[in-house]
Amino acid sequence: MLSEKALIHEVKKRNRKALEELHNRYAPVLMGLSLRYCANRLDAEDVLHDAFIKILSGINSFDERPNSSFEGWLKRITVNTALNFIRSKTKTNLLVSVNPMVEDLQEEQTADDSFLKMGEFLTKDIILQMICELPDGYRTVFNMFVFEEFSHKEIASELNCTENTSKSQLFKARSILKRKILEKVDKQMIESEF
Amino acid sequence: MKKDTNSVDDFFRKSLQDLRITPSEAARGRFLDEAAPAATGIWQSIFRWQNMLAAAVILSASVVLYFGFFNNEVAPAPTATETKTPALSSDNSAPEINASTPDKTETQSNSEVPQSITQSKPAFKFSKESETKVNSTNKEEHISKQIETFSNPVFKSTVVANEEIALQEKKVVLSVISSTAAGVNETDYTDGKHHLTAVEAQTDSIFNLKDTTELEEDLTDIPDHSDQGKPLPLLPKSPPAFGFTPFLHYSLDWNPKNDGNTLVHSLGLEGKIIYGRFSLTSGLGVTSSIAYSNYEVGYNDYLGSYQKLDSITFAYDQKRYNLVPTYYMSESKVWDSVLKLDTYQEEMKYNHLRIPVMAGFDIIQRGKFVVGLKIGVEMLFYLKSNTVAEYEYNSGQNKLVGINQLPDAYARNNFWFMANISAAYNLNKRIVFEIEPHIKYLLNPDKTSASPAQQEVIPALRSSIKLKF
Repeated sequence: MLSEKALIHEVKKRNRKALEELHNRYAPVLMGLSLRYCANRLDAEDVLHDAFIKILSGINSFDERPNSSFEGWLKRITVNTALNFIRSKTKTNLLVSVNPMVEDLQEEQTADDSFLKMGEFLTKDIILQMICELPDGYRTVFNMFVFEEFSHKEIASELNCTENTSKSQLFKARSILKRKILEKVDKQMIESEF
Repeated sequence: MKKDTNSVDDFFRKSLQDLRITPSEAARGRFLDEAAPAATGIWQSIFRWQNMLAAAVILSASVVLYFGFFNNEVAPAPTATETKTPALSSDNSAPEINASTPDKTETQSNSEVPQSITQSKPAFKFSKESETKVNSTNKEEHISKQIETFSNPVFKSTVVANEEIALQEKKVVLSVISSTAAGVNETDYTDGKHHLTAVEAQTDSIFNLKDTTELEEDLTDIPDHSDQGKPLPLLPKSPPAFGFTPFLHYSLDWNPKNDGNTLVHSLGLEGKIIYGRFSLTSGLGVTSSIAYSNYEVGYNDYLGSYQKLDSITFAYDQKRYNLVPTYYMSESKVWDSVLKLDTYQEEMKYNHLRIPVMAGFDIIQRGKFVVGLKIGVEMLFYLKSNTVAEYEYNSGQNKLVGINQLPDAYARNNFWFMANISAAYNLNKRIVFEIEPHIKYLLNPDKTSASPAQQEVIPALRSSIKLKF
């Protein structure tokens, strides 16, 4: 198994073995990331493919300094590719501008989250499925905010919307997800009783 | 920096922290095909049948060369047709006489010779009547190897021309044409047809005898040194020789950048001027090469279709007092606006007029085996091309935007510098096998170095069959 540095070096030379190893090593992580954004496997594979092609074309510009993370760089490219994909797929504005009610936000913060303890028994597939079932806008903002740790300002800039829109999308996404978790937990409890 | 953390966020972040989903094998294959097409292309092209054929020809030529080389190293066993070596009659202390080419013409009674002829004293005489009997299974091997002493250079030579034992006896009177250099006595005898060189050193003497009668009969204008034991001198006294050589070449050019090697067939006529070990070759030939023409295809991905509403009509329902709509729909396809690029190839056959100008120098001349260096230029003028295999590009439901032909080295006139190492084996006086590893450096005035398909330095391997006239 090649070291990361050696792998990058060989990939730059388009060594087929290295390309295979690059794909084997990083495709599962990036596929998971793509799937969070794209909601279906076919689109996720398209995004993954485009991302890898971009990675290859841009690998010469990758900064190999000790503090630069190759995996982080791969993820950034994949996220950007996924966002482009979503933009091209959604001809109309991805996000519907909604101003969240301040009370709603407060309620969200103070809600009882004890059921989340129960949710820990849910499998990854079920949890991923919950995200995939979100509407495109909610899902995109939720992913960017929660997993990629974008700020609302950055999300607004990326998605060409206002910060408030981003906040409202995130709020609605959380609400839906919370409800879904509750449903799943209840269902699981009922099933376990029988 | 975001500040509002949330338990839901934490839950999802923690749950999917190390999410890994293996993509399908098709996705993996698609990526590898697109990312490393050149690598697969090389192997595919290597195993194409034309290349395998060329490899077989090259291998055959190599085997012939190899065994040819060793056949000249080891003398074969004497045959039944060999005649006895005449006893050397020496009325004086005769010098040791060495055959200049210890090859097939060595007779079985060789072992008898040294005792009677070895003499440390170089003073020698030629006997008046001497006889040389030579065995040869090849007509061109007509040079006497057993030379006897004789006071007057009169001798008989017996030549077995072929297996039918056509013995020819010749009586030749030789005359001295040159002799004696400082420290070494070298004497040339000739009668105009036969040529004998006797080299007398301090301790022994070496005789080279050449029956020039046979040479005149058999040899072409191009000197064939395969019968001689020593290579030609660098700058001989004789004038340059000239000859024509029809040839057939098979050449395999490695061209990995162009996603495929090129098999080149050449047929033509070469003229060759030979002066000692130097030669100058030029001529005219027609080459036929199989190469690949690359095309770049721009397309938009097909995204899907939807039912487009063309119009609606309303009919008034008098019973229910309402309007009943009728929708007129048609299917409408949608393509992505992002332009994607793909490439595909067509197999092409290119014909060129080939004009080489090559200077050569023979480094090794060992029996029938000759190794030399050649450098020069070769010009290929484009004549015509035709498509061997046309691969129809199937875009599926994708929308084709455009097709561009990528620059192709073989479609244009080519002009390149060549440096060859040539190994040739003279099967007989007419047929020559030659194998030449060489490199070409493209000197095309219109070459586009920036093109990824263009390769400036092309290593190649050529095997040839040539006829000498």
